[in-house]
Amino acid sequence: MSNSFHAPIATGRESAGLPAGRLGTWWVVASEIVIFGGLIASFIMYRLRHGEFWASQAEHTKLYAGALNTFILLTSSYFAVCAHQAAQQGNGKKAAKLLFRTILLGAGFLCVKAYEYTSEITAGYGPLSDLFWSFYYISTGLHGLHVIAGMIMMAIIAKDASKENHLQRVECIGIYWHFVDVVWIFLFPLFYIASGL
Amino acid sequence: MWFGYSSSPYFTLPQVFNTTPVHSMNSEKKPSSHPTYRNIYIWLLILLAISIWGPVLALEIENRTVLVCTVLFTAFGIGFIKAGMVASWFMHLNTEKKFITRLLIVCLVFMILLFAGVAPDVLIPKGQNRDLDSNYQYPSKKIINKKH
Repeated sequence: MSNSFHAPIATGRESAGLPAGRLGTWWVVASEIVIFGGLIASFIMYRLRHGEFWASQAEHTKLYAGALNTFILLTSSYFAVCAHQAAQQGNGKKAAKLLFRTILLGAGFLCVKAYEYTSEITAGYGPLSDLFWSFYYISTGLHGLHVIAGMIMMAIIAKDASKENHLQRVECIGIYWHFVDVVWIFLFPLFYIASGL
Repeated sequence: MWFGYSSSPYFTLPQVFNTTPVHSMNSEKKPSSHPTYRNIYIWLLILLAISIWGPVLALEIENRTVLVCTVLFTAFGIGFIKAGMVASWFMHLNTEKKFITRLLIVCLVFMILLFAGVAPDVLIPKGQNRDLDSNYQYPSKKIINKKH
């Protein structure tokens, strides 16, 4: 048996014209579109159905907490794309540093979300209070789980990147993280801003 | 091969990573110019500010139609622009292989089909042997009672 290393066959696949890791990431994103898209579409459907009542419920969400979280995620996306740029230049240490900043911002996002959940549940708006709040907790909770998953993956990739290993993965986790950001960009106006309608 | 790997046993980076800008490793065609990520980030923050304060300021508008249009544009319209910017410039969809964009569009179309298929049952409250209004209990009283 030969001791020499070989690049995994899947990583050199040419039929799709792009590295398999990135192709796989795009497949994940595509499936996530259906999951989050279905959730958002269902929310819009019921929002149209129960217009005024749901608008009055949306007034109880904390606009500035949601805005702060949007700011945090946009900033984390900026760091993620800078990490990708650093990885592309072969600077694994810088990429790792930027990824750790992204993780830190992800943790900040979760802290703000935890504060929101606490204050809303304390005020009597729990997941079972009404369909609006069920949608709110399911959508933001599922999104939060994606943030946690992204942070864990990012930590593993950043650790590797700091040793200059597997730098191509930085781009893949970047694509995933930007998608999580895009989902929040849509959740923010739905739950926090549209109360005036 | 454009995404050929270095001589490292396990690949570290496609060799092209070391020599060309980010967008070109994805590209079918190379764009002539690429705004810096910092500029895109600043624009995203400006749009975020508009999407926050636009609807808040719009609440002062008395005309209901103008109010709804303003909120829809400043909240959701700008949301779409922000999402488009992140997808295009941060996810590099603008230079990614075309079939990736098509793949994402197919998923969006499936989602819209789901919406279109189910929406009439939800949005039309009365039908044969059903009356959604009589079954839906608005829980505001329940919440108020709970609080007191």
